[in-house]
Amino acid sequence: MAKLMAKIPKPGEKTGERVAAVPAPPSRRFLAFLVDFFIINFFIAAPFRKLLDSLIPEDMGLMKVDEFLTSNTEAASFILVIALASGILSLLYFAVLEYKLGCTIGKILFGLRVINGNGETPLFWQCLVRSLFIIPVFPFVIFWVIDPVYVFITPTKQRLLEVWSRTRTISFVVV
Amino acid sequence: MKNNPENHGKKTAWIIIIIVLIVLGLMSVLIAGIIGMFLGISGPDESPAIGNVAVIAVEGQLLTSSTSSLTSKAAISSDIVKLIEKAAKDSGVKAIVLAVNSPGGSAVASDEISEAVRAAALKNKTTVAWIRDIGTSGAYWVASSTEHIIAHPASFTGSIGVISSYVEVDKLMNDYNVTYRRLVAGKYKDIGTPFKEMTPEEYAIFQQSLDEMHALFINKVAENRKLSPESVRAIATGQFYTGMKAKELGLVDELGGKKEVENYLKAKLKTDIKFAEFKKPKTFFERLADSFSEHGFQVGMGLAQGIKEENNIKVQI
Repeated sequence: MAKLMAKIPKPGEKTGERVAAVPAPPSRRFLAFLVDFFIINFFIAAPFRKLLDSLIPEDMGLMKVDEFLTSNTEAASFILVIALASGILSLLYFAVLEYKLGCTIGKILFGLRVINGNGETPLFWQCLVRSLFIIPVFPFVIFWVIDPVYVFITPTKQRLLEVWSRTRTISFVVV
Repeated sequence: MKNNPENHGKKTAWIIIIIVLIVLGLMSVLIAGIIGMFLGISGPDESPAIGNVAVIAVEGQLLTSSTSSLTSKAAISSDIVKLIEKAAKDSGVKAIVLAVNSPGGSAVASDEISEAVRAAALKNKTTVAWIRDIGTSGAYWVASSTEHIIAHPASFTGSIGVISSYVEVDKLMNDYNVTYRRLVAGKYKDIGTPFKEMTPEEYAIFQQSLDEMHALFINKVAENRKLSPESVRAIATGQFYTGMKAKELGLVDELGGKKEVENYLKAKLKTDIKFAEFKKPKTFFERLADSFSEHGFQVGMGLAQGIKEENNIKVQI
């Protein structure tokens, strides 16, 4: 993996500038995540959308959805299965690409990398754990709140799941 | 340039990305398809019914909920109502044909379907009932709510009546010294139980309920067919009629089959018509059950054939 990492040129490599790895700024991380989110939406979520549309009645407002799901347990079970399936596939997108390349498409576009404590591409379990928030079911949805808070309170700008998986997201600056 | 290690690394990275996206995309289509089969929903690649005349089958006993029976076919009112509402919402559908082949069933199920047909008519859909083998009792209630009924001359229809008969086994129980221990709070709580003889009082109560339901049935048919309740009551003896007799009595509008349905709709809509079958997709388990029953039938056929050849026996299946 280190060999593959070495073959992906780092910013500044061609020009001979000195670069340093720093914790990735939250704004760039957010933009990179948005790009990945759209890619996941297009490739993975699209086939499940029609199933969801047929399960939930048309023109149902958000307030009524909860009432509908409470009274219609069969539909709720199918929606849970769909959420789990799409969540796991999305998790695999992040985990496989970060394991193989140290980055996803969004991270490539914004010059970000994922590394472990040794400065190398993380192990597969580390890539899985750091992306668990993507599964849209309880208890993983808790990380939707906790992870962003951690980014702002840790000096290394790590999410809680990154702390647990001992990984970091870095970017490169010219020094 | 071609052998530049930097370009080789970048190329490999993008190849990996493309492979991952393709594999995940295919997996999501596959998983969505499997879940869809369980749901009984058509997958993303299945085309919707195309045509300007929706044909909805009303086959089997009319019920409000499904039974676990493997042998009898049932027409579940909620499923049929959904199909009617789907056709009524479809702007491409100009007419709805109910292909009726049912002996009737639950009064509630019959009325639910009937109301859905009337609601569709309010959305300017032409509604036609096409009675094939049988369209009696509750099925005739449903058919009467359409604007035009076409019945095969040899079909059976009518039977405007209510039945709730059952077998009383109290005397048989006495022969075998079996006792019915009556424990009720509310003296009519066990009315209709087969384990005791019905009292004249209970009979009167039961009969009153049946009469009320009969009156409702008659009024609905009279309203739907624009006949007087008295004229309907005169023929609402529960008797079934052939299609030919039903036409004489004004219970159906026309005798015929699919051709006559087509001709009527062409004349009414003043356009070419194309039938589109609206049906409830089978769930994964229903398809599995169908394939098992087909498989079982073929195995049975094979066994019978084997026995026949071995023993030189005439076997008719």
